[in-house]
Amino acid sequence: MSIITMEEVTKTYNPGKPNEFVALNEISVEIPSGQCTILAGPSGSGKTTLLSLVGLMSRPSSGRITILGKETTLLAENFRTLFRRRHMGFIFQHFQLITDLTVKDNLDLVLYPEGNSFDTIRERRTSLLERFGLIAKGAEKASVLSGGEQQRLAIARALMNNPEILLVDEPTAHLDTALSQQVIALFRDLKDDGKTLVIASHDPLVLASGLAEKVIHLRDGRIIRQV
Amino acid sequence: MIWNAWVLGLIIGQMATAAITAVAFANAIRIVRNWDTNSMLPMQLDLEHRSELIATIVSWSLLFQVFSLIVFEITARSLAPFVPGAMCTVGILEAQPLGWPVLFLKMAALFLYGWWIVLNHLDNRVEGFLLTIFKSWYLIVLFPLILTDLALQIAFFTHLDPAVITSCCGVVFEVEGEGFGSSVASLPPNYTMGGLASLVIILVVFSIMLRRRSTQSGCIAYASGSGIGLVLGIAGIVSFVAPYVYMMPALHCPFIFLDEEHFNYGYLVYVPLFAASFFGISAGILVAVERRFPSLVTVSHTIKVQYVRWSGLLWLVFLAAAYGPVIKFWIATGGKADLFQVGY
Amino acid sequence: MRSLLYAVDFALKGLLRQKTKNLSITALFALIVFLFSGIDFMSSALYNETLKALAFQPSIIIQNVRAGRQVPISLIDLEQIAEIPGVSNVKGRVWGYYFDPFTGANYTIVGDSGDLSELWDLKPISLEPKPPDSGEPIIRNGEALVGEGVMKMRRVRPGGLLNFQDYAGLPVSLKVRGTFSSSVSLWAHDLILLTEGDARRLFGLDPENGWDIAVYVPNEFEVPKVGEKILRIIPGARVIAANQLKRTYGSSYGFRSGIILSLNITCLLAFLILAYDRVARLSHQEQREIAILKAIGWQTGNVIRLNMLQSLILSLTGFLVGIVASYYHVFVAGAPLLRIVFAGWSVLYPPHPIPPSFDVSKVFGLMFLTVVPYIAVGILPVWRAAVRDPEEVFRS
Repeated sequence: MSIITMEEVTKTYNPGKPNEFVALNEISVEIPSGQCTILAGPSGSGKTTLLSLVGLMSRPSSGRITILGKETTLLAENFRTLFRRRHMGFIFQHFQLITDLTVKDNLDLVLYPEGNSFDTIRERRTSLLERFGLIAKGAEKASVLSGGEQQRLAIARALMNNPEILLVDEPTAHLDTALSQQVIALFRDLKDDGKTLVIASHDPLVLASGLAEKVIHLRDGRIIRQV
Repeated sequence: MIWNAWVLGLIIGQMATAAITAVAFANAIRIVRNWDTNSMLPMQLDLEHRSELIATIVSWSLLFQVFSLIVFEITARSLAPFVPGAMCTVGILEAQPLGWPVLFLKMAALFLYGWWIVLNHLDNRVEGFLLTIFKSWYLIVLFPLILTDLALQIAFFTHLDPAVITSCCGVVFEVEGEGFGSSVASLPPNYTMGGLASLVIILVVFSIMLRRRSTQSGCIAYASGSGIGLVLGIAGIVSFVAPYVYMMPALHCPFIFLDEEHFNYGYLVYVPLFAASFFGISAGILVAVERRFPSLVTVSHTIKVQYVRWSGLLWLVFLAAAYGPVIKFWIATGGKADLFQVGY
Repeated sequence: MRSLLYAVDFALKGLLRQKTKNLSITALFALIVFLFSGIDFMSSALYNETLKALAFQPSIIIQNVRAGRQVPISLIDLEQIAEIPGVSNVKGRVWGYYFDPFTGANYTIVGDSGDLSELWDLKPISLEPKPPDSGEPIIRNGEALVGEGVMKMRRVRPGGLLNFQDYAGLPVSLKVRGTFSSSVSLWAHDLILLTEGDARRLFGLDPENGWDIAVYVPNEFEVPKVGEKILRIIPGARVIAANQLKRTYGSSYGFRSGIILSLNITCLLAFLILAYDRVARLSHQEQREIAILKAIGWQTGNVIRLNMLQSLILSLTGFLVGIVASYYHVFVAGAPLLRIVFAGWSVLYPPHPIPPSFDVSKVFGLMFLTVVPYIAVGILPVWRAAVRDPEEVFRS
């Protein structure tokens, strides 16, 4: 069963201007539920763009996107953000943590606009910190964490709102082999929890790990192979 | 022309408000010209962003407008010593033909801004931008009003002539006198006291009923009641609330009890009155919107019920504030004397 | 509602992360508010005092003028003036200023043997020795009731002696009988009360003359008519209506404070431009932070609200600090900084301490002039930063 469907989706940056750039060209994709799908391809192939579109962080130039049964193509930005907040977690290539803030704050922020009770937020935060081994660093600034710890924090943050879908951009880009293996194992756990994962990666380690049930190969904004 | 720090401050603040509203106006025009909900072009996204800007601007403008109304009254009051015959705000408002129109314009602007925000609140909760075009037109129509407010205000203050003798509240609200103010002041206080109290109590009870089971026609009735309540409330303030606050049956001025000598008590009366009627009428407006856009009903209903609840509470506060001085007087005189029997 | 609380919490945290920058903005804001409100406090306090003083003034004051200067006026026509319809009371007044060479101060000397409390609102206190009974006049020749300011400056107390010189340079010794209180602190401070006879001696004023004539007209609207009739009785006299005085003082205070305000406005404008500039060019770091917030689920509205809250917190804090500091400066410390501005330009100079007067609704007015423009200026830049798509920001 497909949880995410993209039909004939095109994304053009700066349309009509001299620096016009077609990032995705009539992509049609189906992401199955409860499984892990990998987007493979070299840099500039459109992986990140595709991830952003699925994450409702930008709108396609044409085509249709349906997520969890809801047509999201023309949603207003407020509702896109709301949807993302309620159903998705995003892990960025460069983590995109607010380094000036403490580990705790970075996590709490996710639920602030939702207005959950203080206890709910604290419970959630504590259980995630424990799971990812960061409980001792709760009050420290995110900037003092090591690369691996920051990665784990980024993943914890993406899980703060208990999303059904996880979107991950190049998770192993800044990690050595040992840490990469850890992260892959983590994703396996999350898949077992029932989450749907979409991972963009050109790391052979990830591709060879057997984590994914489906691999979509992209090049220059088009799909060249689906496995 | 009379010049003082207040006039300067008022005009500066008003110009800031008008300037920022002008930005909203420009964006609203763009929206009505180019809006296309089904478009996927970047321009549409840009327009959505601008719609967000307008919402922010109008929200803050409402706050500024509240200030503007209050400061206008204070400014007028501060000028009273310089115009012969003026002893309070009424004197200044009478001194120049634009005085009362500016005041009423400001009050109207307050309510109109507020209702825009109500609509925006609703629009944000429902997908599909149903009300965006309507909101934009609303703002386009509202903007000239704001400009007029600023222009008239400046004209009013620059044409105030300290050499012209004006009449103050004693004359304007004189019981035996002519004119609209006098007619209101000369309404028999027993009738106004009874009438206002009955209406407000009905509204409070009605609001409780509506919370359990609200119907569209019920809300419209409530809205109308609130509108009448506003008018009657102001009449009541002139007719009996003010005299009881001052403990002077012949003094009906609706502004004096806003000042520091009376501990700014007036605000306690006016703010709940305006707020209660505002929310009450808002419920009616939401019904009108529901009829035009049936898909909004579920969300609109929740908001409506909330407004009715607030309105009811505020009417209660107003009741207490308006009748407080009356009750205080009755207690002080042992329930025997009637303020208006003496020399009325 | 909770999300608003969280927003406030986060807004504060955000502000505290850039302490220096934000503290300086708050301080600047506080300074502007301090100046604005200080002037307003001073003006209204002084103005209220003037009003109180004028409330006890007669409706009309008649002066004799020669070569543009005031000279003694004959009291011959007093009865005739008293007969004008509308006039309730007429009195020739003996009063003037005394320059004290020892302290360089000017005192106001009033010679009045009549009832003090009604006409001047003076309540004698600390009389030494106490008067025998209420029928007797409060002071006799050779005695004086002295305001607190005078007592302080000349270092005398009730029972002590004041040595003055009369108009001819001859010594006049006055025993300080006591002091008085008045609702008009201007008077209570620097006023000296003598008997009429003593005052005349001091100023060299003949019994047929007074310094001016006070005419009391209860009905305000009859004043112009009465004034005309007075001029017919004493042509060439200068007839001053108290209402005129009220307006002149008021507008001169207003005018003066208006000038200082105009200077302040310039400062405010400069400040607003700075404020706009500050918000308009968000650093890349700040822009990134906003993008992150949006990426993790903060709607544009939430982001805008966050930034506006920060503006609000900064300006409100600055405002409160400015107002409280100003209140203290004017009403507790006696406004040392502003005194110079007001004192030099009028005969009535500010007493010390200045009686507090505070109107809550004026707070609104001041906010309208400062907080409102500051926030209005910030709306556009905040919005512009908040609407950018996070993806776009991350790619740059």
